[in-house]
Amino acid sequence: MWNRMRLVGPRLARVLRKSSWTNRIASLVLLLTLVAAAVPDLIAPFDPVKAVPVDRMLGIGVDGHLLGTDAIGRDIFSRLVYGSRAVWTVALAVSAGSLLLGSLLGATSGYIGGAFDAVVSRAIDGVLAFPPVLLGLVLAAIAGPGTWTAIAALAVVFTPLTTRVMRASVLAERGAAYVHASAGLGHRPIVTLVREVLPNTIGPMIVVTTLIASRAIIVEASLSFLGVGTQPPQPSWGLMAAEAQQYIFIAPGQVLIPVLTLAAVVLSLNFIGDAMAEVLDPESRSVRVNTR
Amino acid sequence: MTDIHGEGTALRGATATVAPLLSVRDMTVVTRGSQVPIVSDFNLDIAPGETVGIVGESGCGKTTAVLGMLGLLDPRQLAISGSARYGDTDLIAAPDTVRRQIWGRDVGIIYQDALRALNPVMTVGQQIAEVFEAHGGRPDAKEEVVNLLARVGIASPEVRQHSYPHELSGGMRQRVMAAIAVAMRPRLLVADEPTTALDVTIQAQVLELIRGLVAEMNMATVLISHDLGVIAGMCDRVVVLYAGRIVEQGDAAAVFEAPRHPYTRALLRATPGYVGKVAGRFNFIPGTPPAPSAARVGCAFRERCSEATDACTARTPELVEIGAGIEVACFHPIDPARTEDRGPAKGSARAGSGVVTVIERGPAQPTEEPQATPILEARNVTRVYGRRSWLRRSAAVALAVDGVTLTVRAGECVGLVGESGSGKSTLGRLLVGMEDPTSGEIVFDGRPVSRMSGAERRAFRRSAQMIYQDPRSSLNRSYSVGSILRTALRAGGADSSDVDAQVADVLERVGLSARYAERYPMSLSGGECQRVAIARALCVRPKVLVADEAISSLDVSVQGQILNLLADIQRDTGIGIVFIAHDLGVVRELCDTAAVMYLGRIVEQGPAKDVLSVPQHPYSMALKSAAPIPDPRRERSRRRIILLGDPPSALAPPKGCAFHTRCPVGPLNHPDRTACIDDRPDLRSPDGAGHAVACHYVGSDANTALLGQVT
Repeated sequence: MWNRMRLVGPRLARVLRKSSWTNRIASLVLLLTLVAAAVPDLIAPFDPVKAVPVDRMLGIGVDGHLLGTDAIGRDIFSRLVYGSRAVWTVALAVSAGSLLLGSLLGATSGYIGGAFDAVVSRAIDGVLAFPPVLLGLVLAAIAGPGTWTAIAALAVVFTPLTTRVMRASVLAERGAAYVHASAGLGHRPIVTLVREVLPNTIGPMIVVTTLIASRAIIVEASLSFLGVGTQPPQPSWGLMAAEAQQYIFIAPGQVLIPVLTLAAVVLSLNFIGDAMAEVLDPESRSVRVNTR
Repeated sequence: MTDIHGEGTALRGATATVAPLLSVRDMTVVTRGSQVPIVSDFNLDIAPGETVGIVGESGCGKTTAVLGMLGLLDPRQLAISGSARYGDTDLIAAPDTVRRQIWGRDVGIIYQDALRALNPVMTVGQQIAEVFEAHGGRPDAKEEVVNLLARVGIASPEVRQHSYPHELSGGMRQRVMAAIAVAMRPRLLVADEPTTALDVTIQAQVLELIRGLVAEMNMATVLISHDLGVIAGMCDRVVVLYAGRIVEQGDAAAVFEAPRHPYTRALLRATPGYVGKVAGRFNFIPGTPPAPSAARVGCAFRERCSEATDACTARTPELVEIGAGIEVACFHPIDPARTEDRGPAKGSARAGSGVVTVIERGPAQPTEEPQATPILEARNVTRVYGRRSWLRRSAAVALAVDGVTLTVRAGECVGLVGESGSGKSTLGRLLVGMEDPTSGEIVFDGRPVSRMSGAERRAFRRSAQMIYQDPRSSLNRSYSVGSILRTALRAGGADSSDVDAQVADVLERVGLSARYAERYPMSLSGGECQRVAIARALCVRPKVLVADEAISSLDVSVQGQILNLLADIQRDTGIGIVFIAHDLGVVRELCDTAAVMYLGRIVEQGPAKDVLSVPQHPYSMALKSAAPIPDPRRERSRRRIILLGDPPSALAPPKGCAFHTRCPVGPLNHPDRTACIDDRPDLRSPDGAGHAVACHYVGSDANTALLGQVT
């Protein structure tokens, strides 16, 4: 498994090098927003929460405000840069949470099967019935609004997706002869599951995790828009769109900028997820000698 | 010899005077885009009423060539040049409107995979009627559908015409496809590996059916098969394909008698049932066919050929006639007069050193003491699937293995033979502890497995290793060969300091170089995968190896390598081997003892040479008779035992002797033999020696007469 992970870096680079321009642009978008999220203070020229009423509603490029200012005079570019931190926190935390939880549930229920599988599967069906936004609202009502409330809600809501994909992948591999062979070497079931079965589920899991990351970004924006996600004055792209919507006819850019950025990141995640799956899929391993 | 050539020339004479039914000229098929040639310079005339066999390893372009000459390839993927004249029509160039008149009416096709070739949402009757509709309809279509189903041997056709494909057995589906193919009484019947997915006794039924239909309707036939035995029994003429080119073609009897192309000779010698091989050693062709490539010049077989010279690399040999109607594409065709003294090439398993690599050695010798201590025993084991549970009231109960006793000794190879559903694989899984018997006991080294502790059990499982049927699925595609073997070595408690050296060592033992450690399973051929799987099993120093159909998914040309490897391992390590197979010939050659299974029970057991050469149970006789022999003269003259119907379901096995519903000497033909219906025969030894048979009428006149048909 680690042996394999070691190969991922160079392979990813190779895939990107020969891949389409969409994948290159997508990786650029993700890289820029990730850097912004990591070191926003190095990039943002202004304090994102400091209101300067004199400078409100400035146009693009005026007085050093790259993307202008909003209704209370905050620099939109700086808010966008700091907002990427909220976006990436949510994306990474939610996908990591649902990946861990879902892998655990899916792998065990798929491998063990029987009654345990039946119980897990029905419970998952139950969770799946909740609309993400609704669950976010309910949790916010209980635990109070905030970024981590949104993350917890979303991690729970998206766990059924990872669980199901993991369970299906494990079921598909479980009957393979190499799994029997591993048991035949005297390995315990847990060793067989972790060492033999799980590496072959990475491809689909990467795809579903990136899908979850992008959906989490969208739903977090919705929750912030509705007022239960990131709390003002902290910047978040959904919040920015929400605050700017009343000026949509005066300054449409203030709505469009965060929304289009959001769309670009979501789209890029999907492209890169597909590329990653291709890299990690053993079937597409490069040293392929056709012997037929 | 002479009479065979006489037949050949007579046939060629007929071909020359009558205009060919289908005439293919210079057909070349290349992939679109990358321009990789799949079939090159294919020329073939098919005379009316003639049966032509097309043979070659998998991936040699057999199916592509035949579908290409019928105009059935997808033009979006493959570009075809050349012509295929059927009457006034060129099947390659003509518009679909014209070709559709010919497809289905003048040309009928039987595909390999009936389950996929038949439409799952239509009844079989509808699918036969569809052919009539496509060609103008006929007023008596309904009656004709029933007649056709009856003709292809479907019992109660009025009822069966309303069945869906999944409700029929594999053999019956193939019969339905035959009915569809011949519904319009075509002039050309094409059968693409029609029996490859079927059990031998069912294969014999379907081949008999095709033979009958061809004779009755006087159709020309193109039969694609990888099995030279099947070709030998069916075909007037044989076309040998290698890497998309015809390397040899001619009268079947002549080609089988004296193959001229080194590939044909090697393939023939590798075919199970080929007589005249060196005892105890299996023939094979080293290496694998080359990947198709546009840049390739020269003979495609040269790397695997014992006769290859520089000329073979410089130019591609043309197909030329070298007498007696035989055409060969080779610079060094084998001189039939010299074949005898040349004999099989001797040498090691190095690729290119010999077409047929035979290492002289006696038959597999049992260890010094023939009655070595048993390592692994099955004592009266039974395995039931689908046990009745309180949740599902009417769960079906299948007896997969029913009271089987089997002993494996050190240094002994035990063959388990039977058709699918006979329980042989289940027994194999019980023997290695992959499953537990429902009743009875597996005993390893004198200790019952059921009474072992967890750690002991894991140790037992290491001692009894399994080789699986599908070599690709048995290796984890996420790991390199080296890391697969390292894992196994550690599981076997190997010293971790020199694991890499041990990996190289174990790879060498299965005939692979140490470089293979870095390869991934996806880049290996099926035979190489199987070697790695065997290497992995050896890593834990097992005492028993259970090979479950370990060669049946490999090409004939490489099967011999794996068999030789197993024989070598057994000789070198003295482990016990259980070899599960459906091929009697291979078991007879490889194994010391053999057991024949039918519906979960052993019906005959004893020394492999006795059981499989002079079988005493009627079912063993039928199995032996069903296996095709790659020799047209013997294959055509011999009388076959064709069993009736399919094996009964294990869900409802017949009472008494389970075989009585199909037995040729049972109550079907001998109504006085009521014991077969009432009493279940036990395994007993007619001569008091090791050979035991579960038949009430062992040695009776009828049974002896039946045996006479087989031997």
